[in-house]
Amino acid sequence: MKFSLDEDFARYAVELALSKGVDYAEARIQNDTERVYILKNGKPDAMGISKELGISIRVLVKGSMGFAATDDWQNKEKIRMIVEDAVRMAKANRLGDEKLSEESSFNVSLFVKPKIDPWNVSMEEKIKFLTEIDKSLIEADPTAKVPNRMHYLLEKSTEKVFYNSEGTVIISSIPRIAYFSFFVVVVNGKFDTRFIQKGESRGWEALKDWNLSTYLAGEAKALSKLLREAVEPPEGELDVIIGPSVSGLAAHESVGHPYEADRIWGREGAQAGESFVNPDMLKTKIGSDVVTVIDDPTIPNSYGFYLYDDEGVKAKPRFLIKEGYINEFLHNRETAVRFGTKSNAAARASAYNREPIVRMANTYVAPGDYTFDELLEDIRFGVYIKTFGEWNIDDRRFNMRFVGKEAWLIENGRLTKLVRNPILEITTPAYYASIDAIDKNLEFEAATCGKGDPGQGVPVWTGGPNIRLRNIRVLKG
Amino acid sequence: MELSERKNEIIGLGEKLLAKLLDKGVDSVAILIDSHISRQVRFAVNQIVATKTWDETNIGVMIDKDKKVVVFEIGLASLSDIDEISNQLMMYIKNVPPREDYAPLPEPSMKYPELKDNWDENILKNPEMHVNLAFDVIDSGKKAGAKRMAGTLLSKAMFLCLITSNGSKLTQESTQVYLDVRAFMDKESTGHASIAGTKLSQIDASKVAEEAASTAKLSQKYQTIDPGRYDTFFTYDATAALLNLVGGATSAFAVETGQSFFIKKLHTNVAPEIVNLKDDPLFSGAYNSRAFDDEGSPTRANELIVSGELKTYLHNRFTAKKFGSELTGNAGWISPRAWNLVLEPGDQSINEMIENIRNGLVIHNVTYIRFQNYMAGDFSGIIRDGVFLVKNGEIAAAVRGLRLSDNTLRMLSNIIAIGKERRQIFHWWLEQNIPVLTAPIIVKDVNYTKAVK
Repeated sequence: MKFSLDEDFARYAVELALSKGVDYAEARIQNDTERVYILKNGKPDAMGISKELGISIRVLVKGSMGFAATDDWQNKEKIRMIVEDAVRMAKANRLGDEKLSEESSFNVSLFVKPKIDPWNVSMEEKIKFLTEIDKSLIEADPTAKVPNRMHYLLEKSTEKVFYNSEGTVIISSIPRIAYFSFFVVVVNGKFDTRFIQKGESRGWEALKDWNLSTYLAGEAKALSKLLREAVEPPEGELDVIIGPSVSGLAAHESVGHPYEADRIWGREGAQAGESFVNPDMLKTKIGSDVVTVIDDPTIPNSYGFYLYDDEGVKAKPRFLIKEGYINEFLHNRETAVRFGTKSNAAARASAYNREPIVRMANTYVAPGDYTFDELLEDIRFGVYIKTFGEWNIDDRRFNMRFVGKEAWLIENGRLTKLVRNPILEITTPAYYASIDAIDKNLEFEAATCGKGDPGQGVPVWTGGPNIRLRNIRVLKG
Repeated sequence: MELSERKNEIIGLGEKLLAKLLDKGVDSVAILIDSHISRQVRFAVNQIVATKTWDETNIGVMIDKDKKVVVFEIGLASLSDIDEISNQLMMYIKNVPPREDYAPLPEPSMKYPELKDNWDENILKNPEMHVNLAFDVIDSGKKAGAKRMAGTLLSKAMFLCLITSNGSKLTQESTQVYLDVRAFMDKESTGHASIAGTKLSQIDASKVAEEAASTAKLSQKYQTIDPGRYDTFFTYDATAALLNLVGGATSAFAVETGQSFFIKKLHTNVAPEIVNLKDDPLFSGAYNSRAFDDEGSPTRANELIVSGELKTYLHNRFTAKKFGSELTGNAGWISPRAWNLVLEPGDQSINEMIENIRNGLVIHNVTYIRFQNYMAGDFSGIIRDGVFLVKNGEIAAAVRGLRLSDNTLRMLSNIIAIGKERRQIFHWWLEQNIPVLTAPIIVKDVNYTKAVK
């Protein structure tokens, strides 16, 4: 697809803001075009196209931040109105003390091109693709029923022009493709539900690599077997192995979020919440020596991929926990000043009409050097939680809970029986201190991370290997 | 930035677009245009951290052809893409079979309900008032003893227009405003309060701030209690969060796709007799007031639960066809949804309700609700912003570290009291984004779990 945005309108907005006496201005034109195909219970449902396209302006006036946005991005009169409004409202806030960290300026164009542009794949092929996945789900286990099935295929392209009063101009285009499904498996009147999500910054070629028919059939079979065979999980202080999807989610929820500096400072206090982490905990021990957690926006093809953030700062991997020590927080330019440091390019905005706030990209636990069998062989009696269903964590990100979906009893180093809904309810420091071994099997899952007000859902990967925790309390569901 | 000046322009735009799309040989078209000016003031750590303004016009289009349906949404500036987008959609239509649940757009009604008390000029005319209200909240909270105040004030003035090829030309203007406040004494001693309505004058900033601050102060002295089952008083905000789950589960789309705990529960008792819940976008000052749904059906108050019995699911034209039901006026183009839940009040004051609890809890807020099994209704959620142990009718101490871990159907059937005072609640983190006019409730034997290390 041809790049469709014109940086002149961003330049106009910034120059106009500067003429109003602001200390800093940035404009972002963003075009998020999505196509969604829905297959509901085997039948094509409505297809949808959405184009979220517009311009936003952010100004800093004597320590007060004003933000305004309009979809009418090529209308200079409308741009004038939103610039004036942003300045007027910022001035009404007479007590602001915001500043932005000093950062290098860039003038960069970045275009990620998919190998196979989904725009060029026929509708027929897409519908066939979803129908085949649905068929594999139904036929996965002849003794089970899958009466409710939703499949979503999302193709997305994000074009951006970022322009600020310090000379930075970033022009970018990134494609994304994602698949979501929700299904219910029924066996002998008992039922359970499963949600699956995949996503990458690639084109149609990603779908082939995901091998969804086989994957979903496997998940349906696993759920069926679980309904048929699972026994009550043991309770008590046990050794536990958690699978990549769980360790990745835990890294996102209990490391990524509490290390967001806006939460630590209190900016998200009324919404997503604050953090159990204090600034003076930097460089202190939080986990065992084997734990390293990284957030890296630069992983090629990742769902959370970007090379420059939405404040024009160059992205890099962030080592949040390094060998058990809190190493680094996630910063945008606002929080960097408050913490006396530089931004590490964590500012993201989900659409043209959202302010850039501190976000994760691809958060994962670094792999260790064990094999899965080596993790297992050292456990006499424990539980392996391979996948999860329910989870949540408090708003300080201190007290978390994961309920296993596919989970196994471990006896004398072997997986012996399926167990039903084992619950892990544990504090973040206890969780990371309990990890004694990590295997080599790093896997990533796609997710949409929510934060901000109005809410901003941004694409991320969560990643992790299999992880062994010692003496963790397991509860029955 | 006068919204009123745009009305004729928007209607004209919709009509032009309708004619253009009909020329492409489609069977029917619906065009829904939402033009709005919104303002938000966000504050945290006792200061305003951002002011925001949105001036946007969103255009939604739904096209039917040969019993197939496609939708698209664009902004005003993307109208030049209409030909390309509609051509893509036509390609899709060519390649899919007709919908088995297809039903045509409903015929326009002879009469649509009138909306009451749903417009406030001040929202547009006095933008600085938003900033001043936020300062009021911060000052009032601090005066009431809070160390830090955080929150959001959001307002929206909206012109909505639905034009369909079968003759609907419907418009409405409405305003919305909510204030959502959290007070902190320290990281763990917090309080929360919120209020929603259609006019800035309904937002009693001081009262909401003082409520949040007083809860935060009360949260400082805490004790540890065992997990287990406790009779629980849920405040306005906490009840609104739980009723959002109920509202979401009444969507026939959720029922059809296995994402509802009300599957096969129609016309059965899902709650005790004291529970009466409706979806009503028409009461005076309803935050999400709507006179017509997205397909052009008139809206109405739908009784969802009457004396404990689940009476209906909420429908759009497709789910109504599939379920053999009449339209309920709740159409979204993909999924029907509740507009504004209303819980019928009971007869007890808050004090009377708490006095009746021997050994239980008071909970001010439930967030981060996640289901283990949607159809069964098994879920857990984070409780925060004021969790108190009640002993013999009196608040004994704050409690920390518990997690609500129960089942929606069990909790519904265990409601034993409903308060007589109601408040309209809306903030962005309600699970289904449904505003709720609610009283507090007491649910018996609610289950709580806890991390031990």
